[in-house]
Amino acid sequence: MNLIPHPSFSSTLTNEFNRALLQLKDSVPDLSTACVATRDGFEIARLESDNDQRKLAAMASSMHALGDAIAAEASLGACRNVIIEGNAGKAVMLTVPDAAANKVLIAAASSDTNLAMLLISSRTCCEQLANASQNHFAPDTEFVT
Amino acid sequence: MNPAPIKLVFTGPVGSGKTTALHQLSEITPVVTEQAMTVGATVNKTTTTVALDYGEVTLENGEKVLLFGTPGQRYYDYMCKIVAQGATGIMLLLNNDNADPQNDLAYFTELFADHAKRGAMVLGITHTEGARNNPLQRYHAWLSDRGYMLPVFAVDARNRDDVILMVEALAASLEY
Repeated sequence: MNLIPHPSFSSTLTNEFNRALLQLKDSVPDLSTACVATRDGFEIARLESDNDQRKLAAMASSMHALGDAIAAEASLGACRNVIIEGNAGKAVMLTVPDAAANKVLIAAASSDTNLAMLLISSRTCCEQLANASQNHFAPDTEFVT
Repeated sequence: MNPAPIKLVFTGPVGSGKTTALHQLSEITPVVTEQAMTVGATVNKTTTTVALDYGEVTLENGEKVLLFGTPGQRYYDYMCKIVAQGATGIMLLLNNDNADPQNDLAYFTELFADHAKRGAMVLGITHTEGARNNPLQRYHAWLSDRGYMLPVFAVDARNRDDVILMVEALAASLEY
């Protein structure tokens, strides 16, 4: 199923996001899922091989917001990432560090993947996503803040 | 051992006043998970709850009440189900000025069917001063046609007394 275009993100930008996700896949061979979501829960890019990740995107936004709330409550500063470890794999959710600060990357991999490797590669991917969105700042300025 | 605290859940569609009502009632600084809206923001509504709100209030008899708020967007339905687990009662807020508040009523009574069927739900109709002006009678009629016996109030989510009235009505319907 095709991704539903998000009105605030141009296709040029989401194409660049897709490229960053493909590079993440290259550096983490066991990557099972990767998608970029807005912090209010909309999927804006995903690995081409993935099926619909709308629900996962919404859940990543909820988890990340809870991460922020817990970090604030426990005086941990801003939430950089949330980590979930399951019996069969792990998932990380990271803030995309651009000026808009309105996007989250979620990446999941099998349990064979080293957690540090997944985190570092995802962080690199986030920097690429942030650079791409800084270079396409115009669409992001449409946000009502 | 102290009895289990009462857990109340504020739910309803986007812009019905869930976060506002919880803020009015809570005696602690609420935990909020509001995010800027990337779609559908308006002059009056720029942020939306994406996980849950949390607050606490103590009743006059000393009982502690835990307050939870859900997101309003339907794609966050999984959060509603998580938050509703173990809830004593559901406070359903409906925006009278929405395009189709009865559709919202149908959706949320279905989503929280367990609570609705056993009367552990109270309805607060907000924005009753709005242009659409649906009479409360329509909500009563819709509910009674489907066999629900739930209290319905016109409330202003910014008014603490209105919110307390909903809590008291819920407590009363659970007692009898």
